[in-house]
Amino acid sequence: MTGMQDQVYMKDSMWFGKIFRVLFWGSCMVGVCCHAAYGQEAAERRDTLAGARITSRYDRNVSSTQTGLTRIDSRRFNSGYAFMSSPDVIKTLQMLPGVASGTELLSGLYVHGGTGSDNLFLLDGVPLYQVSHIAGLFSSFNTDVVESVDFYRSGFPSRYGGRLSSVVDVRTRDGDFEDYHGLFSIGLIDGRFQYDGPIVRGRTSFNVAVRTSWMDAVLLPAFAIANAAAKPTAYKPYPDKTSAGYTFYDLNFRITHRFSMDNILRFNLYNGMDALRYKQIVMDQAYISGHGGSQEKHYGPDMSRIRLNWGNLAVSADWTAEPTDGLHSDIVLYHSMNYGKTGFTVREWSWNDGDVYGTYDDSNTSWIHDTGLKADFIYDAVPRNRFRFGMSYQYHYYAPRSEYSVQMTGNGVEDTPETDLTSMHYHSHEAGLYAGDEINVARWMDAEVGFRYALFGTSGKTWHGFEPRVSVKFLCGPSVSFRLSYVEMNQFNHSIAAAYVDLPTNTWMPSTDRIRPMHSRQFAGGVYAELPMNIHLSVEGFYRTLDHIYEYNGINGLFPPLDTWEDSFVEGHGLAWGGEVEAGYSGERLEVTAAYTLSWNFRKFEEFYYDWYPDRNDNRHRVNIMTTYRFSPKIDVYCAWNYHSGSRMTFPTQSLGDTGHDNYFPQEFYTAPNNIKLPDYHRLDLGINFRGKTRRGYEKIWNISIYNAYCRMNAVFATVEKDSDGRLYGKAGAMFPVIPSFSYTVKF
Amino acid sequence: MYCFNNILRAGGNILPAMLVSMLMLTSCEYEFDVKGLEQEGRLFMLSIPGGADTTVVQLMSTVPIGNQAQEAVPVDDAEVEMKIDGRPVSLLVGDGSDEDIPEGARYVVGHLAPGTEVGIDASVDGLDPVSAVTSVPPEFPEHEISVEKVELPEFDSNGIRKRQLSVTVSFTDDGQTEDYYGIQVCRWYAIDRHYDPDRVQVPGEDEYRFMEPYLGEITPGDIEISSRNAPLTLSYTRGNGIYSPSPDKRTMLIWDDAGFNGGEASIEFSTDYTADYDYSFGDAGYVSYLYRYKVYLYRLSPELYRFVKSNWIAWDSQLVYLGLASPSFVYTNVSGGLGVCGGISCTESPWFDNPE
Repeated sequence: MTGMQDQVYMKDSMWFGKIFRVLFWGSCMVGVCCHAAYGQEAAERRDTLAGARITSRYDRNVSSTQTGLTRIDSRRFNSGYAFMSSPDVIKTLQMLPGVASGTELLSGLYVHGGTGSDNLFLLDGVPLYQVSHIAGLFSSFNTDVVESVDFYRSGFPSRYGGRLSSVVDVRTRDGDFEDYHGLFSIGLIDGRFQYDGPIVRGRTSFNVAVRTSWMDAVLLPAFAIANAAAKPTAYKPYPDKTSAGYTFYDLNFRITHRFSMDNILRFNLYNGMDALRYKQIVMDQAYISGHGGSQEKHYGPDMSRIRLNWGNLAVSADWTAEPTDGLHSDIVLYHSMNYGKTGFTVREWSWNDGDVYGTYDDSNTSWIHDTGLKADFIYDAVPRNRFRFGMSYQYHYYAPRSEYSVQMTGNGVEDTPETDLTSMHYHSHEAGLYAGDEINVARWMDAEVGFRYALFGTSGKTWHGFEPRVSVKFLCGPSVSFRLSYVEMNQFNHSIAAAYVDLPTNTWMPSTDRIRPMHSRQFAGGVYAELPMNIHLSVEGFYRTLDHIYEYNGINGLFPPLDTWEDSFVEGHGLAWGGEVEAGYSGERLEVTAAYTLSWNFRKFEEFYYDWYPDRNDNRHRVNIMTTYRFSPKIDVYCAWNYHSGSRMTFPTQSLGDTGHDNYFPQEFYTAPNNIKLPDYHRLDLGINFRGKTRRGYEKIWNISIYNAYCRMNAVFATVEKDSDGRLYGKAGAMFPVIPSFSYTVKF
Repeated sequence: MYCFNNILRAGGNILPAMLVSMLMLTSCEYEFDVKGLEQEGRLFMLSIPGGADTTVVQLMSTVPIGNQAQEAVPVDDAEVEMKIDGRPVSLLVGDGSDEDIPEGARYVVGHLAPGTEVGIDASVDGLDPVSAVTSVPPEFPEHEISVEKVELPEFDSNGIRKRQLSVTVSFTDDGQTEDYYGIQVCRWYAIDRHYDPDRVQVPGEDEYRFMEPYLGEITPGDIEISSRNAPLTLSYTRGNGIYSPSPDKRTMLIWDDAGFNGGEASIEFSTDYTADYDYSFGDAGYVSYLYRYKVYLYRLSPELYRFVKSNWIAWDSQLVYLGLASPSFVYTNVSGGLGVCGGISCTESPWFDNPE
């Protein structure tokens, strides 16, 4: 069973659009009618959907039915590990078992053998495609407004769909309805400000948070100093000049209005942007023959410039209510946009009785817009049952290329202009219907049985599939439970990239008639226990298959060709399995969490290799140990040690040598993919918080942290080299030594 | 609200620490031993049946990267068996006198018709035996060729308008199969002598001869092609000669039928044009150089195309060397070894006179 059937071939998607319109307006009508019937009732109720969300945020280690679920609340972000003195959602998730982080310092999330672009990131229910700042140094989630994060590695509930490997469901908090609060924080490279409070006391509140980087404030003067310090030489009378700058910001904004405790309307806005600039000027020289055999020297600047911009915008309206007894609803209308822009300019100088410039300018912008509606319902009026059902609809608009290219020659005038303006656009519709029941079968057994039916239509093609979701829990006393789960997932959007590095300028494309949706199946099971002395223990295993995954098979430039992308990617399979053990102790002063993962991760692409081969992130062993200790209310320290077996790369295994013939081939042959393991990765991060009060009584926190405290130079990339004896060896490039950092935070 | 003056005061003490921190962000490199590499070499086989009247089988042995001190296993005494359509054939051994047959290579003389299946087995003491099978593809489908001169708007340094030779091939693709095509344009010239041989001597034969190595440079951006994929360039000499994929010398353009499988297709590109010209020796006379062209159209077997393409990608894969991209392999259909046994068929066009 493949899970996805090529059932209908459509010349156009008109009928599909009609179904979507019915579902869309039907859901709106249902929601509006339910809420209209609810009317002016203002009775306070318990077990509202909002309340259900809050209770669901308790860390139900033993009582939850889900496998592979980790719930993190804001207290954990703000009191524990802080990467470079700034708490980060993704960096925290990377410390969990079953998660590979990929390239150091980047926000890669490779879960249970996933590809990295198959994680569903939700910000208040709105999907985000790009969640990185500074290429992954920080994620797009500002922990100052994060209330909780639900992270699923397996056992995905039926309300989630569209990605294969994980769900990161981030919820931000409402503003305070009674009083005003805020904080600001200054760090080594970033600063944050957050403020919330009532607009109408008890009824309406706001919460706003801004985060920005001032790397420009350091980089620009640093380069200016370096350029000024460069001395002219006889060979180079005009030294090269280089400048670079980087900045990012993000803004989270929410307005919450309570019609009643059970009837709440939220308006959310997220906007994030990154900008990277690099410019170099190299003085070129020309020798011109003058009179009497003399030579005149002329100098002029050659300039090259790179510009990268990327960002997200997400806007949503979220209405939660309890229309009738036992029925909770949550309707979200949203728009999400992700863009990436690259620009490249080269200007070359020459001399022809005057300065002559030839300029080449190339830029490309890629967009993806999502407009969607989600309606989720919980009905728990039937004893020992909790029914969940709902639907979702998304309209995707892809514009992977809006390219402008011009080549100008001559003296700054467009003597021979060549302009090439190309663009590509795709449209698609994605919908899901789901239903499930959380059943208390017996005192010792709970089950969550559900399904999701997914539909995806793009021009000329419709894909659909049935995704079962089953979880079962067996209680062995109040402290120990066994859980099993089986899920199937489909993903209709593909990240187009030629490199393993998850760049923010990667483009997204839909499944087409030639590119099938990706599909995965996952079995998971485990034992979960709350032991005496505040010790928790979980042992979990998983087995997962991936089908119709794609890898690039073309010229490895940084940007693959978009007009022939369907022919540049080959289809293959993935297989991953493993076990995870996590134990933790939580005491009054000391908290320790240790996790060990043993896993295997394989791929099979017959265009590359006839057999299964290890994936790049096939890290056999992974250990994460996290410790926090509170010396006093004023001082606490944390320490995190990460270890994983080296990632894999492809190394040539055979050398042809000098044949002495005219025939010529690459001298080294890659005979098997990812056949070599890089050196193991490990590092130690330390941090300390000094807490106190300002003169005005506000809480202040000085954080000092050291990333990679013992300066382990972990390989970021590696190449193949040959010594004078002809011996080939690996040469690893490491970029991140000890990095101290600090931040100063005041909460008011 | 907190007073920002305190922030600025605190920042003044921190700024030097910030600068020191930034300076610490330097990279370094270090070596590491690579474990788990193969310890034995492999046999490398190269054979491209069908392109010429001689089918050559070249054998070489590789040395394992992990044991570079090991010497390559000699292959002079290798046992090579070839079967054509299931029938064993006797192989001769090259002595190096023919530049198209390397010394020690096995070969058999005889034209191989389209559809001929060629199987090769080879073994040598100390290495695993290898085997490969391929078929000679059908001939290039029915086609039309035009060779024209194109006047360009630019002028050269002598004030003469630039010209190019435009080659267009139109054909119908077979929709039942995945097809891979190639094209070469070769230029020939003849010498027409009109001078006093006692006063001037011009070497060379009078008859048309292949102007080797000159073919001309084809600009990839000037290629119009029906395939969804960009064409690849390869240097190929009929026989067993595959050179590094560079647009030089005996350039062949190769492409696949992605996007037009079963339909009308064409390829159009431009290359250098040289008009017939006279070279004067003053009152001693002059010599005329007369040019004409021939187009070679090829069908490649899937094995050969994949081998060429994977070579092409391997040449350009800077990201692979950095471990930042998918592994790039040199495709092989040689079981137990490396290299390729891939068929090719060739169709020659008639002569095209130098367009005026």
